[in-house]
Amino acid sequence: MPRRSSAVSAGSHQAGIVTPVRPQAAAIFVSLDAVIGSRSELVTTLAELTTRLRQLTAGWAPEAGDPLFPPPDSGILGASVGPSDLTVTVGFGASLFDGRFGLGPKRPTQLSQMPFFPNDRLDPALSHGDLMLQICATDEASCVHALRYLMAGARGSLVVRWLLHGFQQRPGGTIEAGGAIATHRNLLGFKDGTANPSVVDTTAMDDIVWVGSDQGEPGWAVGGTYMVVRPIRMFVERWDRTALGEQEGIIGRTKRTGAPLGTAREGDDPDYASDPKGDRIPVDAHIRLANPRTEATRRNLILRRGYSYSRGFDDAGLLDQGLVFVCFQRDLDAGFVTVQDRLAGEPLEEYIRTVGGGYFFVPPGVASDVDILGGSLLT
Amino acid sequence: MSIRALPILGLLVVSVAACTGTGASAAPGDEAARIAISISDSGCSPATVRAAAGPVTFTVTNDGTETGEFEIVQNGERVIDELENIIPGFVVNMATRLDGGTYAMQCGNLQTTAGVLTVSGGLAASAEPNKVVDQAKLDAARDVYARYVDTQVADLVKRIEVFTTAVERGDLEGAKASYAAARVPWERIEPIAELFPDVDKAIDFRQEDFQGGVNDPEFKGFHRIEKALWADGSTDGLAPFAADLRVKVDELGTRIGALMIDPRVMARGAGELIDEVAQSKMTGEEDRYSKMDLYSIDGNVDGSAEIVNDLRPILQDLDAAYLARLDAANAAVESVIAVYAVGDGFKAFDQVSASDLKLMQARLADLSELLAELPGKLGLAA
Repeated sequence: MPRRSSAVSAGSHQAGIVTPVRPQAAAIFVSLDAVIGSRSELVTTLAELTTRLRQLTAGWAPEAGDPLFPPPDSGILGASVGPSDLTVTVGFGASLFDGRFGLGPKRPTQLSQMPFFPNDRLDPALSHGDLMLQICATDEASCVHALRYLMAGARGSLVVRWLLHGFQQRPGGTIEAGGAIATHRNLLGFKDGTANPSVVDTTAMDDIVWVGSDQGEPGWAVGGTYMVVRPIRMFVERWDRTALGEQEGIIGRTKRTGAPLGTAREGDDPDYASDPKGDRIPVDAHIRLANPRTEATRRNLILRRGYSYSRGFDDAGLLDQGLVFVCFQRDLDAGFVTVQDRLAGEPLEEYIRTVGGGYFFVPPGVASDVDILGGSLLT
Repeated sequence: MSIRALPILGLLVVSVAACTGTGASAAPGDEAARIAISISDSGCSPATVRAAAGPVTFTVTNDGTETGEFEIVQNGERVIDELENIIPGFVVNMATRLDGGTYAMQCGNLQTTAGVLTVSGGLAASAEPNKVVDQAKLDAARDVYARYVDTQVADLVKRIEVFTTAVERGDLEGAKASYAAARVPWERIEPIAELFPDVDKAIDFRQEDFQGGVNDPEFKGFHRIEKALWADGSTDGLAPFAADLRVKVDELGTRIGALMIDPRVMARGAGELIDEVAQSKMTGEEDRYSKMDLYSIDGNVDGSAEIVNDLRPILQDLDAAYLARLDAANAAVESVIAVYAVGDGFKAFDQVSASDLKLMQARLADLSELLAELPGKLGLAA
């Protein structure tokens, strides 16, 4: 029985961030450009999106409709819609804070256009955007339905800039022997997200994810979070012909169990202190660089919420697959930027390349039944 | 590109009187007349059938030895309705609705001689009388639109004459200079021109519509000549294409002259013109060699605005707020096109900035959404 989600009534925070990712096996990331010219038109657009989002996340039975008119709903979910654990998370790109809407002075302090990192080749057709919608649900059809319903409400004001579909292993496929619920695997075949902070630990979420009033961010941004979206292409054919030992050394985990190398279980502490030279876990292994687990690097923690993608093949006939890396953090520089700087030059780079994405700021949740997404910024 | 050929559903209420002729039985009220047809390797039996305008159900039996089909065809090419893959021995019903006129029936395979179906009366009555708008008002708007279509057709014939004459004379520059102007009246009446798919194909199909692509012998019309003028920079060998284009345009004029435009086709046409732009002209593929897409786009938008204008008195009474939104959405589209106007024409399509292209895309989509409601607002059933 799908839980009734509350994407727009989450109070101080938007849904789809600390929402458990497990039942949400499918996602669509769509970047949109606003082609309107005034703040009031932007408010109208976000109000319409909010209204439609409320409907979608509550679930409803669309009216049958008048035969003489286009039907009110696409009908692709049948007579009864969702809620299918649907969440839609809306983020604002740096470009929304340019001169068009008079929002410049309200730009979150760390929100900029995402730069190229050393191993990046950001395709302009897959990067940035005024708005990001992260649509997650139990299944692909529910995501597609939500996308169509939302966009129908903003035809004259929002145009698609880029779009990616993501997926996770089905929940049923991730129950391991003994009934333990397992971390999902990415398309390199490794567990991804083992060391993620717990989304039910509200103290940790306040420390890691949510912007507080003590950060020097504009008041409207409190309760929001910085979102990083990065489609990371994986060269899977090459990865698949790499020796298991080398794969495990590059990642730092045993492929089959997910346990840090030299340990027994997925959840075991990699205990880097006992392995200063990297005899057990190479010092440039992905998990070691990404999260060194020292007291000093605690402030670099981020909440990851990525999805795998697969979108055909490239001009060379190679499968175009990878990870839509997504992370949330209250401090972009201390979080993603620092982690990414640490990863520069890691051996994994030979098998991956970031091909697009952007930085977005996810405003807080709607404050009341009449509030709209971004209400604290726009009104 | 072509819209799917649909039977024209009329709105004039024609009483179904006793039908005469082979196979048809009189039907009271709106009940469909029934006609039995046997198809075989030698054609239709009976080969001559009469019916009255309105709903007709054909009961088709395949008495032949091979899988066959049954088609009702108007004007040589336009398939009004059809049944495919009828296995020998099987009986299949086809319920359709026919306007007055003469049709061909193809039975069995398409090589067999066609039967003749004569339908008496005018436009077939729609299943339900219009509850929203007085039919006389709709007919009056349709008559205004029909005069516009006639004017555009006359203009098209004249401009095609100028264009094709230049091509035939080997006047490369003259041909290039008259190409876009010749397309404008065509684009304005596209919903009507597309009622004749064979003509549409001969006049305006693009190379990718043909299996053989740019070298396919069936690839003719505007875009074949456009390709030669701009990509090859030559009029060599174009005379037959020019002559063919002239013939097809003349034929189109004749056929439109004989056509009774259905208000439903008109109301749907307003949205179809904008969908046409949004789906296949925002990519620059329409006039890819000449880059004169904005002429075509502007022609489509003009044609759509004309329909709204002709319906204006009705819409004003019916839903003035809706009309105001339509006008605003249309003006928003026109204003972004106007940015690229130069003199009497337009800049090349590759001069349109990426941001204006997005603006155009969004505003066309907005207008499309509104126009999708137009037939419904007028009480016109699909």
